[in-house]
Amino acid sequence: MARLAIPGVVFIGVVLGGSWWFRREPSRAPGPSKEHNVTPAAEPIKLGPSGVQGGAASRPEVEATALKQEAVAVAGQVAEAYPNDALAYALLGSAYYNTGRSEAAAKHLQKCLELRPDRVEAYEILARVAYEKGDLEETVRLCQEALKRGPVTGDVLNRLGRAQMDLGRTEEAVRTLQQAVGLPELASESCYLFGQAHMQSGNFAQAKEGFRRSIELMPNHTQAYFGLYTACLRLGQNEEAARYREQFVKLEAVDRKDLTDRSAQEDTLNGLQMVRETVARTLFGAAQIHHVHEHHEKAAGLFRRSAVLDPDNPMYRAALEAFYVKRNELAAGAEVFHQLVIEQPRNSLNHFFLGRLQGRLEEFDAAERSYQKVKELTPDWSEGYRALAELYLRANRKTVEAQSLARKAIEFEPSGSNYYILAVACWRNNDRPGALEAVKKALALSPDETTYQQLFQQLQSTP
Amino acid sequence: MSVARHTAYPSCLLASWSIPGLLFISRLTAAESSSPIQLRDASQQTGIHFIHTDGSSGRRYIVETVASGLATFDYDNDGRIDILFLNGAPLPGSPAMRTPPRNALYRNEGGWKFADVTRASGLVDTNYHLGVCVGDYNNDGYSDIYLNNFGPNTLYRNNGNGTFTDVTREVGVAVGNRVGAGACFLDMDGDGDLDLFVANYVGFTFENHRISHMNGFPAYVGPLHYPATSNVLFRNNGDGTFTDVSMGSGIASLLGAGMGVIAADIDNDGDTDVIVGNDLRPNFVLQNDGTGKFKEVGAALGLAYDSFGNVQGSMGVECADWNNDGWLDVYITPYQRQLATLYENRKGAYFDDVARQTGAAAGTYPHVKWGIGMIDLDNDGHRDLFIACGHLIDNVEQFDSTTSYNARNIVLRNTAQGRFVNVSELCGDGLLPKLSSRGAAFDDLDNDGDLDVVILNSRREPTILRNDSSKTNHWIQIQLRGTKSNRDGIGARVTVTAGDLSQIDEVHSGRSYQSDFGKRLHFGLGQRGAIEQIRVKWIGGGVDTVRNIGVDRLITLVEGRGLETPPAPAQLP
Repeated sequence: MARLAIPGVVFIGVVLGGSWWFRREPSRAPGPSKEHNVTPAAEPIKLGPSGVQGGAASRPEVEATALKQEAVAVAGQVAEAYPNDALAYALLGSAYYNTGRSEAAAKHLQKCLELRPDRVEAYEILARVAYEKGDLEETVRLCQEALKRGPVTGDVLNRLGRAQMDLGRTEEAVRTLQQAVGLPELASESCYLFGQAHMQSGNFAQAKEGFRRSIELMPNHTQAYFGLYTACLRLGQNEEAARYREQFVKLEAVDRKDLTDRSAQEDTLNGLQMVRETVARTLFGAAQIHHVHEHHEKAAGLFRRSAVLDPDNPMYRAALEAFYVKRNELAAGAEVFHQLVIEQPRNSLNHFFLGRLQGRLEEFDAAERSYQKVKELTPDWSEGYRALAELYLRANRKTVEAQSLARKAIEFEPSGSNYYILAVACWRNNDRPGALEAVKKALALSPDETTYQQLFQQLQSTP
Repeated sequence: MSVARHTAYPSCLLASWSIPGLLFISRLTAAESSSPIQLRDASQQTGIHFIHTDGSSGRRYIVETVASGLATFDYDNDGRIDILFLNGAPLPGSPAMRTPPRNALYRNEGGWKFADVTRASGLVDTNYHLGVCVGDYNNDGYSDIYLNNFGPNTLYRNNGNGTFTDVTREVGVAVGNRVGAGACFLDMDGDGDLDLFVANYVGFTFENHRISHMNGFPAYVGPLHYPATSNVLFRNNGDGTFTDVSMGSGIASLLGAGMGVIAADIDNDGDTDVIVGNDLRPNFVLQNDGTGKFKEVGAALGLAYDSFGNVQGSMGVECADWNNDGWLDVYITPYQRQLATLYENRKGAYFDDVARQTGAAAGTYPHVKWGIGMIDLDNDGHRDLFIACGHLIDNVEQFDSTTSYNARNIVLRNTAQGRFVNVSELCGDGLLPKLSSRGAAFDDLDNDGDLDVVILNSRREPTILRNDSSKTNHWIQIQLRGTKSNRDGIGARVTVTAGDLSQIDEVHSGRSYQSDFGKRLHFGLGQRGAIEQIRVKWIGGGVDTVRNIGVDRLITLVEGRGLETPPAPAQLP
């Protein structure tokens, strides 16, 4: 559901940048956590005034609603606390949008723009609201405003192109979507809409090319196959059309099986996980705003809550770790993660970040146990091996095992940092050739990394 | 008639049809405060006291959302169009009602007065009524009624004396207990009598009922929560009985969630095809081979999905020639956040969704759409669009403020330049009511030569709109009477040629959203003061042509004989 996919934190991330990352965050999440038991912070809500006689809401529905209300409440508190912070209104607008209250969302997004007319993200959400209300002219205006003020993104161009098509302004739509498919980060949807615009203007060959590129990028784009089928029919390519139609019919049947609700809004029975992720993003955004305004306790609480809600997202745990590291409250941070481990014992990320803090505290045995747990829970995640190797090297123990662990990490992810750790481990084990080979590979992948360059020079100067 | 005559705008503005519709409206508004189409709310003066019920109780049974259609037709052959409103019925959990709700038949007394004759007519069953079609199944000269219900369906034979008799079992058109939808009478095999196509919605029962929640608020589930169902086809045996030929006809294996249906000759091959709008499933186009065997060709013709390849929550289905090219086009009204679709007929080869390019979907996106009329509201010779709107989730505003349960209906005027413009704000007080509309019917209720509008609103009183558009344009209304073909002329193709304008239409039974209207064909003629030719191709092959017909009158064309002695102008009842 597009509505829930709007992150509460994208724009905040842009503003605050990478200031949270004290250490390099995990390059890749370890995969879905086995832990999804989340305790909602708020009380279950009362259901609507029309009541339900045929059956009460199920627990997922109650929880989903409570979570969305929590997000609105938290964002509301932020806006109240910092009335001159444009981002606070953007956050609140986003939270309202995710509950379907578009009017309230628009009100707060407008307030954001009053304070900061350059907040592109606010225009984007307002454009989405306008489109959903059927106000196409306003959608076009807002998209054009976003493009004028900020970076040109595929999402905005796609929405603009779509609105222009719906208005029947086919030539404008073609030009807009031509721009979208020319962006460096080409999106399947842009190609698809490009194809649609050309279908509308009768350029079936161009349309076919657009749809073809769309499925290159997203092989299961159902509607792109429909587009290819239709374009081929118009071009008289009937055999090819039949093949695309067959694929479309297969994919469409799968889509229909997944679609359990008639409206564009997601049935919360199926959307609880997405609701948690979206609410987590909102709370994370609130935490960042509190932090900027130096309300650290509130920030810490919300970082933690985000981490609890979205067990698979390393960003929130990394932010929580960085928070305590920056304040030199390592023990307090370790305790927080220890509690997370108790609450979500099968979440690899909890153990990972606990290990990092324990390592900083030089509690090497404890850190070792944490990283061993990471390996056990997510045996194909390179970070677990790399972190344990790094711990052994820092503690100057089990260096041979460190070398083996580094090689294992490379198996799963041949990254510059993993080769670097291998290089250090080889050197520690007096394997200079191995170290040189590894650091060269690290430099080949990340030639600008000064740490790798320094190691390389050291190795070269050492007999 | 061109817009220029009404607005005195220079023609260069009219030629700029690529200007967005909304901008065009603002220019009209600048110089003139109204549209050529004027619809006045006449509901209060009619004496109609019908209140619709969907039988809801808070348990949110899906059938509540799809009630109901209506029919306008002359039930007593007095020359005035009467109205039949369909009603729901109490469902489990509903509060007890002192008087059980029933349908309501209102006889048109003339002068915008209507009398409730339901009881006298015998149409007093208390079933849960969803869809209706009207047709003279026994060719006795009186219009019969088929009601497609939640529960047992009913065929009412018109006795010719103002009363009806339930002959469902006697003639063999019972379909058991199902969730009905639209229905059509059609002559599928050209044998001169009316067969019957019955669409069914979903396999809902009280036992498999469930509800959903959106943002914590209880809501109706959608059609995909229930099994798809098949439709039923009855062949008229010619002796007053029917035979279920669903299996042999090729339709029994097709599973969908039927809503609006229409029977029309969409490939101009002289027989009647059937289009079924399916809710969140691909629409069906049942192509007739002329003998009553059908092949489903929706996807091949481009009618199964919208132009983006998305299946739609199809509600109403209507056919008319919007661009006067001699081919029937199709308009489908779908759910919220889906644009209404105008499928333009590419000479029978396929259909193209041209809603965006033509503005035929303007204003429709945020609403749930139901009844649809492709009718000439200002008699300029070009079909306009009237779209009935209203959500089916009665508390939708609690979790989605981009839409509303009650909504204004929409009028899109055909500019004759390949575009429609949204004139809803300019049509007078008839478009002001905000209700949750369902079925809509379009007929000349006051016999003044323009089409009025009747709308059934869910849980409320109906809206009756008197067409007060300017009377400067000419028109013709044509009643068909078959002699070898079915008596109503259902399925016959009529072509009216007046000067540079050639228009086609067919008589339909069952159309739009589970409703019926328009047995009298209505053609606007603009400023053309004479008709060179009217050609009728009857189902079964016969063709009649009459020439040099006067305008501004209702004529009756009899198969094989031509024009029945017409009344003088202005002598209509």
